[in-house]
Amino acid sequence: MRVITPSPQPEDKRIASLLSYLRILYTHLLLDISSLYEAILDTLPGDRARIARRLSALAEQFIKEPSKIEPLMKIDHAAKSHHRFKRCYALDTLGRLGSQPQEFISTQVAQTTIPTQVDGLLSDDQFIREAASQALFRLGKLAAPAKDALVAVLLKHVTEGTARYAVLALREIKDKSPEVLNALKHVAFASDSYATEEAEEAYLKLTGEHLQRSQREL
Amino acid sequence: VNGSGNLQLNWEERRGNFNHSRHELSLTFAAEASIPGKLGAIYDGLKEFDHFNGGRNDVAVKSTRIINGVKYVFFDSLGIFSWLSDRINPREVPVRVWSRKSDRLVVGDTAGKHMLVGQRQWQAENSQGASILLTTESYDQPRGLLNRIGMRMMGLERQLRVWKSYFENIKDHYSSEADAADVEESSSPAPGGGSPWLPENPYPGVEMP
Repeated sequence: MRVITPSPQPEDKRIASLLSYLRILYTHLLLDISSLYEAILDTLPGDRARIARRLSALAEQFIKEPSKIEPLMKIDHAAKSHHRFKRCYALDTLGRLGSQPQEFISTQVAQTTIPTQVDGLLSDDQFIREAASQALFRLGKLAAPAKDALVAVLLKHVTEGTARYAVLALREIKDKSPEVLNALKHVAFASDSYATEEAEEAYLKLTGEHLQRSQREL
Repeated sequence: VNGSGNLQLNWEERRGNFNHSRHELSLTFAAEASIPGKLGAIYDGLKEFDHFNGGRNDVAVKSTRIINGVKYVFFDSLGIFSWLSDRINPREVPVRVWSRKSDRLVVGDTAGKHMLVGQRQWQAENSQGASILLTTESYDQPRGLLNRIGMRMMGLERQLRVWKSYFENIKDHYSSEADAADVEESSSPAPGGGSPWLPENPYPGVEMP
């Protein structure tokens, strides 16, 4: 038996493309309204202070009772904000929590928030990338699941302070895979590199070898 | 964003008198032997503004970049002069930075459409025994009439708060290993109205020995 699939009529295609267009418009409109709202709030005196107070209070709550993860989830949510200050402050808060001496706290932070920190690393906004990179560095070896993103950011944003924190993070993760070592070479030899010395030191620490200029090829 | 736009020093736009401000923080560690290492670590943190974001700083965030061999730190300034700032200055303002390892000095000169014209320096010194003194000092003035008005309204207070909170973040960072008094702050019109500091021209390099 032959199954005949009706080919879409031109009207169907037009409706589908119109719906897709409306969906994109709706998404952007929502995003823009949300960004605009937060941008307006940001201009109000005290808004940044209010955000900082709230996030710091959540961090304190989490430190007091690290088995209760809700405050950490709220900080994680703020670290996805479209609002630059809020997002950077939240990422920084995650970094501070990640460097707490109590292993249970830093492990909770790593297990719960590394995907958000990686999203920050992939942001189009340099301020956010740098805050995320510093937060991952503060996590130490627990930032290992972010290795690929750290390598990617090194290859793409070598002129930024982001690169320095990413190199320091990779040094702590102690991964000696070829992609990590090649990324460190790239940072060590790139022009306008922000982290030449740090990359050379990290390479030495990981391999026991000094980088030579003859190793410039990647 | 960050790097596009005018990055030239903006000292040609200076008009009128400078203001002088100073903050200092003294950290006293347990052992004198640890001081050289601590000085190095504090200097590294200062030249990279590692302790700028977050913590006590509820005013601004930073990012850093090297562009054509010159290091810049960009500040997201929106909160500095609040609503007025967003109307008369770009959201991100650049400061050209260089540092000198021998005396652990970091120097920042305002550039582009920064709301200020001037220079700020940060330094770490072994003041005595096991104590390290951190100072930041600036000679600056508002750039243009509107910033002058903004500065009178709330700008100066916010500007001072940024650098006080930055030092408080450093104090918090070392709280488990060093005793520290509160960050001291002072601000007044510069003696004689001028700035004793001028930008190094040409740029001396990202870091001097």
